[in-house]
Formats: sequence, C-alpha cells, structure tokens
Amino acid sequence: MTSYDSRPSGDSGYTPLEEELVRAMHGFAGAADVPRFDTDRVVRRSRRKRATAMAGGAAAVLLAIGGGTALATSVTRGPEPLNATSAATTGDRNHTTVLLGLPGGHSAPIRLAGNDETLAKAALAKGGLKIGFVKAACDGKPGSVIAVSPHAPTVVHKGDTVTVTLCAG
Amino acid sequence: MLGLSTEGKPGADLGGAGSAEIDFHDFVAARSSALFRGAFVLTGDREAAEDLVQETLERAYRKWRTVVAQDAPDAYVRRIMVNLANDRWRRFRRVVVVEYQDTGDGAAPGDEYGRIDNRDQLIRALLCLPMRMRTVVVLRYFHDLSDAEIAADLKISPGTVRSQFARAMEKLRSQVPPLSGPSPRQLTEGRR
Repeated sequence: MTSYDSRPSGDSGYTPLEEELVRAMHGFAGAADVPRFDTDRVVRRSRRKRATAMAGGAAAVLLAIGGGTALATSVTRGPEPLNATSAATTGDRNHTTVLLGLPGGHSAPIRLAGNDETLAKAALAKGGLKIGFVKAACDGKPGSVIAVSPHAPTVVHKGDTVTVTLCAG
Repeated sequence: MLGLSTEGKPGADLGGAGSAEIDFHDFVAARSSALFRGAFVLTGDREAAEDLVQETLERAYRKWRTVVAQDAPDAYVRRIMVNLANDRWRRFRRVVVVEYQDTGDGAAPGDEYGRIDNRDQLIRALLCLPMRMRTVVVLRYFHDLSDAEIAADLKISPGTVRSQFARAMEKLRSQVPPLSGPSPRQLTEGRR
C-alpha cells in the first residue's frame, strides 16, 4: 500500500489540508476545559481493581491495610464503568445512563455513573433536559450519581425532566 | 525518578505511600492535562476523554515501575492510552454522538466564518473515522510522530500505518469541501 505517497516529512511540507487539520486539532484540544485528575482516586481505583483480581484472602489483607473504604465502594458501586470492565456495555450501567432522543429517531446515551452534581447538571443541561436532584443513603462516594430516572432504555427528549439520585453518604 | 524501579514486589506498594507513589503524583500533576488534550482529540468528548485518561492513569500506576524505567515515560503512557482507546472503541464512540449533535445545533452551517467552519468540519470528519485510522491521524498530526513511531505505538507494521493513514486522508478530503481560501495548492498537492 505504498502507492500513495505517505506524507510530507516535515512541517514545511504540509499541504493546506494538513495544516488546517493540525490547527483544527490543536484548536479543538486547546478549547477543552481540562479536568483535574485526582491521583488518590487513581491509586485507590487501581488498587481496588487489583484487589478484585486477587483471591478473597488477599482482599481481607487489603481491608486490614486500610483499603476498607476502597473495598466497600467497590462492592456498593458495582455498576460503575471501571469495575464492569469486560461486561461493560449498556446493561449494567443503564440505571445511571440517560438516553437522549435526537432528531431523526436516533438516541445518544449520557452516562452519569461516577459524576457529581455539577458534572451531571452540565451534561444534562447540554442535552436540553431539566433536572431534579434527590439524595439517597448509600455507602459510595457522597455526592456521586447513583441512579437516574427515567433511565435507559427509556428515551427522553429535550425539555423533559430527569431526576438524578445522588449519594447522601 | 528511576531509582524506584528497584522497589519491592507488587504487594509492597499496597501498603502505603512509597516513593513510587510520589513520583506518580508528580507525573499526574505535570502530564495529565497534555494527556487529556490528546484523549479529547481522540474521542471528541470531554467525558469520554476524562474516562480514558483516568483509566490510562490507573494502568500506568499499576505498571508504574515499568513506566518509570522507560526512556520516555510520557510516550509510554500515551501508548497505553491510544491502545486503550482502540480496545475500548465502542465504549468511547457512543459518547461522541452527543457532542456532535450538540455543536451541530450551535453553529449554523453556512457560517460566514469559513475558516472556523472548515476546522469544525475537519474535526467532525476526523471523529467519523474508524478509531484505528483516527488514532493514526492524531498521532501523526497532533503528537507529531513518524510512521515508525506510530507503528511501534500501535504494534502494527509501518506499511499498515501508511495505508491506514492514506485511507484516512482520502476520507477526510472527501468529507470536507475544498478549503475555501488558500486552496489552489491543495488541488495539486492534495491528490498526490
């Protein structure tokens, strides 16, 4: 497949399309509001995953070490995307996913699992949805979305009201 | 930074904040926004990009000793990320639709700001490419990698990189109308 001349080798050799593409990508990326990545959360989650991969006995050790909260969350927040690795498609996470109906009979999922109130509000507002928040007791991370109603597979439309249940802690 | 590659067995860092953890913190503080921008170009969606970076960082943390033993930990982590994006393509693809329906509402197609329109359209076209092609394009133009580097990152042959790349550019060209302004050069060079 080398019949196409692959590409110019230096920046100077870019075609206008390529130059435009580079600018477009950088513009697009630069416009994004970068979230903060919480190292502790990363560390906690990767330990949790490692723990789930280990045998039960190892889990007990982890508990003793003080990963108690992490383990507890992994149990109560089962449907979270990162835990549901391979089986992770719609099924598990339906109750935290809003299915937004779009013109032309399409629909797009808005996944809220693991989001907090601000993120959920922003995501739903973007889809033109009205939002009501309620809180419910849970053992997960306080303030995180634990359920939404109506949720997938029910399709909602612009202007509809969606009720989001947040973890009260 | 490299010293910690000698740290003990996997169980050791389960215990508490070892030196590995400190360096990992530094890495996240310094590099996560760049990673995020790369993820954002790749997925086209903030939420999906955040997920992707989060998961990439988790993997990097689990293999942290391998990561810091690299000449270029940055590149290694980016490699984790693009491969993750390729593997989990379905998961990330579905979110893109939301984003793109949204911006579609916002920007009128016949906008007078032709250039912005063009870029917007280019991004759309890019996000319509199959993930593998898109990855190649993003690595080439956003991360400025050579064919050989891309091939190494994706564990495919340079020939495959070139063919994917050529097909991707064909598609972009066909989906984006000729650039309105300075395009005479493109007509000749564009076909190649």
